Amino acid sequence: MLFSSLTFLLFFLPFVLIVHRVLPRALQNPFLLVSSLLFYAWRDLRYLPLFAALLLLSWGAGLLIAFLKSRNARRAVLTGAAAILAGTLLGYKICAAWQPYPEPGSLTGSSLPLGISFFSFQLIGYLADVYREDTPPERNLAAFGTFAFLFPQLVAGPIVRYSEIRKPLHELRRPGAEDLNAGAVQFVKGLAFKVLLANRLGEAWNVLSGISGSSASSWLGILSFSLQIYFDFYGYSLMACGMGRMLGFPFPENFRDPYLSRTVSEFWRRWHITLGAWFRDYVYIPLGGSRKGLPRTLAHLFLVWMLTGLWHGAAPNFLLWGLWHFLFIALEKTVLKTAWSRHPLLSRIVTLLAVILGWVLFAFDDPGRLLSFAGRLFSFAENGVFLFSIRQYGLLLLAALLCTATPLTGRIAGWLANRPVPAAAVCAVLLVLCMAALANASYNPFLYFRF
Amino acid sequence: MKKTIPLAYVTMLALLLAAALSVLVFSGPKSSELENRTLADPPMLTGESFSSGLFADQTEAFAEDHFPLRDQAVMLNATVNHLLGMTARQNVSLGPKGFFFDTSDGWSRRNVDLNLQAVQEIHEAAGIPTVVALVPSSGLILAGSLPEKPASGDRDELYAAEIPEGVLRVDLRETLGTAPDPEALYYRTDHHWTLDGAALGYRAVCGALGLDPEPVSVRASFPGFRGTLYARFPTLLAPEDTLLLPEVDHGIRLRIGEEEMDGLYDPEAMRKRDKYAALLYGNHGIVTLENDASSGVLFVLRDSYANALLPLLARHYGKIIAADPRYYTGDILSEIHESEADELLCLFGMASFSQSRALSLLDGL
Repeated sequence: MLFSSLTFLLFFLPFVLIVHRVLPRALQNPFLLVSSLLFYAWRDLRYLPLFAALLLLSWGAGLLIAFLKSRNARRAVLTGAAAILAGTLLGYKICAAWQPYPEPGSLTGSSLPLGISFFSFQLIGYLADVYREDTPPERNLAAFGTFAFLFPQLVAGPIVRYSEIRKPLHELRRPGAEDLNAGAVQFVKGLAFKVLLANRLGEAWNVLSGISGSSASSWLGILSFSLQIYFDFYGYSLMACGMGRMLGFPFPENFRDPYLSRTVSEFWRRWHITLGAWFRDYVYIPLGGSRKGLPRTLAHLFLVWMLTGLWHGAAPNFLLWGLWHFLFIALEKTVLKTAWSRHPLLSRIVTLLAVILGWVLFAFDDPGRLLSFAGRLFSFAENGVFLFSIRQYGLLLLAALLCTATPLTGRIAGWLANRPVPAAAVCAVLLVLCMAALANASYNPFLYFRF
Repeated sequence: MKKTIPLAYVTMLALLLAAALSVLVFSGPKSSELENRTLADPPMLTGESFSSGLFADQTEAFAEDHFPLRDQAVMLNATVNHLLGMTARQNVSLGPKGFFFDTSDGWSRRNVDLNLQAVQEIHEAAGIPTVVALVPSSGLILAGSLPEKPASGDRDELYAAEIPEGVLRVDLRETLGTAPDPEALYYRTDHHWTLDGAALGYRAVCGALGLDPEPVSVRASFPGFRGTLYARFPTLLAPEDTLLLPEVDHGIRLRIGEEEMDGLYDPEAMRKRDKYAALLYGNHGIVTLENDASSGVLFVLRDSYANALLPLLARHYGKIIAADPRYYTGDILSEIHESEADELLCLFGMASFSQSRALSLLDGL
C-alpha cells in the first residue's frame, strides 16, 4: 500500500488509528502487527514469507546473542545474521539493477521487495545494538514484529532504532491531545508535500528532462528534480513521523533543511538523517572513524559513501553518485577546509551546486541518457523554448522554493502552533486538495464513448 | 484538568471517514458525463485477485472513480494546475485566447494512408463519383493567427497523403485557412468546428459535388457549451462556447437505424455540458436524412465533424445515408450498393482520420 493513495487514506488509516486507540495494551501490538502485515501484503504478498523468515531469524539471533557468553560466539551469530540480511538486500538490489524486467513467475519478482532496504537495516542495527549491550533483546515476538514491520516507517523510513521505541512498545499507547494534533498536522503537511508539490514537480521534470536545445530548461529541470526528490522523501518521512506520533511512537526526524547546508558533510547530517547516522554508528565508527589519521579516515569515508550509493541501487550511476559526494567530503576535510570556513556564502553555493549536479547522476540509470542530459546542461544553448518552460513551471518552482525556505514555513508553523482552529482549517483545506489530486489519478476522458 | 479536544486530529479523521463512507455507501453514478466512460465496478476479492495485486488495483480504481464530488475534485485539481501555469497537459494544451488544443501524439500518417486506401477500395467497388474532405483542426488553422504557435498533433505532412485515383479532394486547409476570421471557425473548448467553420466547409463540398450552396442562417444559439477538449483539462477558468444551430427546413427528417427522431437536434443533449452531441443526436453507426422536397441519394462516410455540415447538405438531396466507421458493424459495400447512392462523400476531421483506422477495418473491405 502507498500512503499517497485513497485506499490507504480512506479505508486503512482512520480504521487503524481509531481501533488502536480503543484497544487494551495487550492487543495493541498484535493489532498493529497484523495491520502492518496487511499493509505490506496488499501489494507484495509474495515477499511476506521472505520478510517473515528474516524477522524470525533476527528475533532468534537477538535472543541468542544476549544468551551466549562467549564473545566469539556472539560475534559469529551477529556476523552470520547480518550477512544474511545484508546479502539478501544486496542480492535483490543487484537483480533489480541488472534485470529490471524478469520472466514472470521468477523468484526475483518484478522489482525490489518493497521496503527491504529499511527493513534489513533496521534489523542489522538492532542486532548490533544487542551485541554491544546497548539494549536488551526483545523477547516478545509480537512486540518485535511490531518494531520491524511498523507500517508508517516500513516503506520509506525513517530508519528507527529499537532503543528509540522500546519503551512505548511495552506500554499502553494513548497519546494526548497535543501529540495527536501535532501528528495530524505533520501527516497532512507530509501528504501535501508529496501529492501537491512532489508529484507536480515530477511532471515538470518529465517534460523538462526531454527538452533539447534549451540549456536553461535543462537547468530548470534538474532544479525540479532536486525539489521533487526532496519533497517526495521529506513528505513521506513527515507522514511516517506524524502517524508514529498519532500511534504513540516517537520517530526521529529525517530531514532538516538540507539545501541550506554549508558543506556536503553537513548535507548528510540534514538529508536522510537516519541513514547517515546508521552508517556512522554501524560502519564508520566501528572501523575507527576519524581516529586513525587522515588516510584511514578518507578510506572509511570512501567505503561509507560507496555503501550509501549501493544502498540506493546497485547500478553504476548510484555508485558514481556516492563517489561524487565522497569527493566533495574529502575535499572539505583537506584542501577546502580553511577556505570554506572563511567563505560561508561561497561554500553554500558550491555545496548546493554539488548536490544538484549529484542528482543528475542519481536521476539517470541509463548512461546514454545521462550523458545526453549532461551535454544539454552544459551546452549553454537556447532555442527559445525556455519561455515555455518558465511559464509552465516557474510558479510551481517558486512555490516549492518558498516551502523550502525555513523562515517562511517556520513562521507559519509557529503562528499555527497555538491556534487550534486555524491549524485545523489549514489541515482540512490541504487534505481536501490532496484527496482531490488523488481522485484525479484515474481521470481519463474519452472523446468518443467507450462501451 | 481540562480535557482539550485534538481539533486538527479530529478534523482529519472526520474528513477521511466522511470520504470513506461516501465511497462505500453512496457509490454514485455508474458513468461519468465529464469523462464519457463508465466508472469502475466494486472490487472482487478472491485469493487470486488478492495475491496478484488485482484486488489492490481494483480497490484504488473504485475509490478514485467513486470519490465524493469527484467531478468537482477533478475540476479543482485542474484549476490549481491552471493557476500554476501548468497548461500543457499530457494530451491537451490550453493556449492563448482560451483555445484548447489536442496535443495527443496519436496523429499518424500511417492511419491516414490506410484509411485512404480503404476509400480507394470503396470507390472502385461502388463505381460512383467520390469526394474526400478532411477537416483540419484548430491547431493547424490557427497557427498563423494566434500570438504563439499552438502545440498540436495536426501537421501538413498528414495532408500530403496520396488521394486515390479518380477521387476528388477538397482541401479544407485552403478554405478555412484563408477565412477572414479563423478563430470563429472553431470552438475553443471542443475539437470540432463551429457553424461558421462548417458553413465554409459546406460551400467547398458543394463546389466539389456540383451544387449551388444555399445561405446559412442561425435557428437557435445555446451558450454554456464546454466540449471534449475542456473535459481533458476541466479548469473552472475555462471559457464557454456557444453552439449555433443552423436553420434548415423542418421537413427534413432524421432516422437513426429504423427509429425516426424528433427533429435533427437532441434537446436533452442541449441541456448538458457537451452540446455538440446534440447535432444529429450524436454518433451512430448509420443515420438517414430524408428530404421530400429534393431528390438524389448521397452516401457519406463520416465522423462527428459531419454532424455540423450534413443538416446543411440535406437541403440538396432526397436522401443522405451517413455511416460512422467507428460504430458501423455491417458490410459497407453492400450498404452502399443497396442505398443506390449517386455520389459518395468521405467527410472526416483529421483528428479521428489520423488517430483511428476504423475506416480501413470495415467489414466487406
